[in-house]
Amino acid sequence: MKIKNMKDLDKVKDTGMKSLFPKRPRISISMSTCGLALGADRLFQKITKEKKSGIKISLHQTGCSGFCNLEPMAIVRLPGKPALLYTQMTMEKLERVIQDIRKKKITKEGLFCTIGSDSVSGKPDPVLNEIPDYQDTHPFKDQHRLLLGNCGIIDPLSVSEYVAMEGYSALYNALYQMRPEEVIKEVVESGLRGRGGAWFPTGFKWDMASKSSGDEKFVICNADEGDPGAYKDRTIMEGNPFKLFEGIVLAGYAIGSHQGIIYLREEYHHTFEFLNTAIEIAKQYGLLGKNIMGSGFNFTLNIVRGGGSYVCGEETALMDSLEGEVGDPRLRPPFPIEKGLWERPTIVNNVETLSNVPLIIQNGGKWYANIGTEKAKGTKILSVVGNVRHPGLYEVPLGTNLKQVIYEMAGGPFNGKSIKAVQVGSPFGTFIPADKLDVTLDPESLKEMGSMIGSGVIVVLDQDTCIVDILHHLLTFFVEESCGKCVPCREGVSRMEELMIEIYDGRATMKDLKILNELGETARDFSLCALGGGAPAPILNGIKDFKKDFEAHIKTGKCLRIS
Amino acid sequence: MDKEKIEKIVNKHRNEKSAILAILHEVQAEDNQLNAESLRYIALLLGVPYANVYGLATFYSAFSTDKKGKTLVRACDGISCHINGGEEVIEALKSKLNIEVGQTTWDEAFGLEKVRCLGLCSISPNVSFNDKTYSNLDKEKILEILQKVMGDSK
Repeated sequence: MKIKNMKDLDKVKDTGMKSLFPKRPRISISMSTCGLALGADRLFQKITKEKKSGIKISLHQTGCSGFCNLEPMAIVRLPGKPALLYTQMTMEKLERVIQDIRKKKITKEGLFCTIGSDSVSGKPDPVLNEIPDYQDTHPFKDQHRLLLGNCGIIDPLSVSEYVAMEGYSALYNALYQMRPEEVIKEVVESGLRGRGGAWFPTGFKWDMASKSSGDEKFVICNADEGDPGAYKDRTIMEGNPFKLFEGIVLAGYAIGSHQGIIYLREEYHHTFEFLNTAIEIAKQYGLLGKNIMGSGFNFTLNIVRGGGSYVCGEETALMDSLEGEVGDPRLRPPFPIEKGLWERPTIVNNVETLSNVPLIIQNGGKWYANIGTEKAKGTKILSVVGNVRHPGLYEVPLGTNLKQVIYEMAGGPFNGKSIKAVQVGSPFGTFIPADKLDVTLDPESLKEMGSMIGSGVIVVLDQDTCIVDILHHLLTFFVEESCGKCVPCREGVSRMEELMIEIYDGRATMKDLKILNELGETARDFSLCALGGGAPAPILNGIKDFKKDFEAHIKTGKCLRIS
Repeated sequence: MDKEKIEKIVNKHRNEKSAILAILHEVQAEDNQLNAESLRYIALLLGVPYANVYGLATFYSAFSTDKKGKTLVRACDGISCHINGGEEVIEALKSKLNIEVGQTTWDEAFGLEKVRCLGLCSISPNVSFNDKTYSNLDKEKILEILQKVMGDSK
């Protein structure tokens, strides 16, 4: 059905509530890329088969909660009881759960936690007394899951379930009760800044784009999530795609654009199929296309798959790519807001940034500005990977302490090892030594200590790591991904890699280290875009702070890495 | 590739603005390669210089002007996979398939590529075989999977 007015929206909401809290038992299996990699499809098929043999279950899929290592997950809700989360599901575990559902019983074995004890869930069950709620359970504890909250819980392809979770109320209000400039005003007031890594004020960008003249404007959603170690955008897209779409349409309404494009990274094969399905569903509900929600506003959305080039995550290279060209960063000005895609005014915003917008419009810019630090508002999804006990996505208010995130939330290093360094803002961030981790996570604090937050990838490295090995790995990446347009990056970073190989293999001298340093400074200062300009940072910092690792390679030919 | 098939793909995207990447993706999916003949025909149909189309096919790592393996093995070499033993997995693949990264086996059954991050960083190392991904790998596990896939493809 097409949603044309408030009454329709309420009806859809009703359907969503019935779907989330049905009268029969509900099972949902997380079927994101990660769940599927760990066998979720077999579990889903098993339940489908059981359904055919007569058991009355409402079966759904969900996205990923950000903790792929707990996949496949299953959420079971018996009528009137809280939802129960089971992790690392196997066929045996599932069979037991289904058997117990037949007996209207809660399976306690393998139960990870409950999810919420809200009124709809009904009375608390004495059996569940000692089972903690997910808000008190690692790794969800202490998070502020504004964006990820529904990921892994609602059916990502169900508009009605998203609407039941207050989805599309922001867009409805904006289209019916707000002028575009009022939408922009809220976003400006919220203090939202770009989550792709540049941290540019979103409201300011929108304001300028709205004032650019032109009858055709574009909203580009940058989903070219290329930083190795990052998967937050994938998690949002596969876990709650309609929230992203709602943010994109709000952006279009605000700047006066009727066309949106999601530029999706090539490696996300499953996400591509999935998002296309989601777009079709949104169209059926009248949430994309002509006359959105009966308001008269039109907006089309398409997905374009990239070609596997990292530099295309840079906004001007991304636009080249969309125009059917090789992805070369352009010189700015002119900025995209004046002359972007096909020389039309264009805004490019990251998936996480756009997903924040519905929350801002729904609750007000002031509400949003209460979260975070003075200069960096809202939450940030951190991708904590490497040598930590609980790797995963941690959504925390900006300004949260890095040490707390690593040791308390992500469980710190394991196997009795200690941390050597942490690369925040990987791949361009510097290595923060273990004794300096007491820092707040926001762009300003990290910049002050010579690092960056970037897109939020935090790589934890334990005592057995060799920084030369990591830098060697990073440099091969930068060289592969340099587009070759400007000399400092094309030649400089390539020569840096050659030197790094010499160092790694024990053929270099201490003099080479000086040359590496000089090359790094040149590439940093004279490259055209952030790839060549950013690549040297971890290398320069590594030479300075982890000289021992370099000396081991140069003087003794040994790598300090133990694996 | 069959000219008719190329025409069909091009026509499907004719009215889209950012069509060319999608066309290249689809032609490659069909033919396992973007050879000169196909590229020339795409250029002709779209009315753009061959050099442009060839440029795209060689710039973007997802495209290949050589025939790719029927099963494309993509080993993740992102930072998390690297830290958690991804190298060992890649070495095992190379030695078992007897090819280097970027090559295709003699019978065109398997191609081996390295990718920078499949976005499954908390269950690394990861390797995908066409669209099926395997996670939490080590040397033994990947050899076991490869053995199975090789058996299935016979």
